[in-house]
Amino acid sequence: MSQHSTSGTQFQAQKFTDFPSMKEALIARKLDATFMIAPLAMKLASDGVPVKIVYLGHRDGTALVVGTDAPIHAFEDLRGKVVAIPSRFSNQNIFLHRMMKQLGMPADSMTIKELPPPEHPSSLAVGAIDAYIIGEPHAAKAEIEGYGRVLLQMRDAWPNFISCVLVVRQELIDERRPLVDELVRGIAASGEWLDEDRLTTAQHRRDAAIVTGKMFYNQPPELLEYVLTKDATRVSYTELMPPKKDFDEIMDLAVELEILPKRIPFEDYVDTSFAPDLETIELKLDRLPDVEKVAAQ
Amino acid sequence: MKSKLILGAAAALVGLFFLNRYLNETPRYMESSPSTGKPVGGEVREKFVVGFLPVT
Repeated sequence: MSQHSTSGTQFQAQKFTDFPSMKEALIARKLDATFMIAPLAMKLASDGVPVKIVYLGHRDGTALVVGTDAPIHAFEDLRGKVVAIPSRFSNQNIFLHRMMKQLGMPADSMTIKELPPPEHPSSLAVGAIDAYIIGEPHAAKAEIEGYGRVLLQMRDAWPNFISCVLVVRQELIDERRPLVDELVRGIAASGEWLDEDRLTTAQHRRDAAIVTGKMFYNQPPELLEYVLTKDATRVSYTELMPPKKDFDEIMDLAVELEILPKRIPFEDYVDTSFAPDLETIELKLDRLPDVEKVAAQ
Repeated sequence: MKSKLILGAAAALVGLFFLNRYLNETPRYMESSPSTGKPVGGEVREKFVVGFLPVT
């Protein structure tokens, strides 16, 4: 709902379990807006699908996870190992290649395997893979369940890491600009709210863990609370305007890895005009409505 | 025997009534369908679906 009026749009979340299905829904216009991994959005734009990245979903929030007792203590120890990624068109994949290049490791040093995110922890648990790199809460899941440990947090290895971005169809921008504006303002306000008290009580994140876990993610709120509050810098929800410098770097790496056929100009796949001035955003909520009722369910 | 069948059917109907009420009152996620978010306040002008995958 808009913060400045008594009426507004109710944004409803449609859950997907893999990125290919999400991509097809966006291409077929079954969906006009979605959060998806950044290089996949760039690939769609490169293929001529009329889409634009209008905002980031978050910063950081990805980790490289290995088996608890695995003899892997540095990135170089992944030589000869099987490492899962969420998609070829993901910054997690680009990161692995970026690191291999930095460390002078050949690109085929490890076997990189695409797996839908929810399958990463279970695959590690049964020994089908040696490591995985994925966004939360799938990294924390292995930690909490005792069969995985974080080898490195993306926050430390590639600061301000970009994973998921908000992508909208160009038709929506052209025909329903106020709606896109309302959506982006809402996401910006939610992010501000989540980060507002994260270094003190983190009550906002605790509320979000309950509501998100029970109503949207279908995951234990305890897992989400662990991700959001144990180390409140593990994932951030501010500074979400798409930065040209970072996207240019991603674009260069994606072309080098042949994930994208050629460079496309930033303006062809990003529209930063919706990113609001955060000073103009009011945060009226202290606690989420009905959070205790949701917690009791 | 007939009265037992009638009693059994009545009990089943009462059970179904309460089960239906419980399920309608309990928010739950349904795969492939939009989740239901309760607006903070004010009038809902329209509804709009945004896709996501439960991963940061």
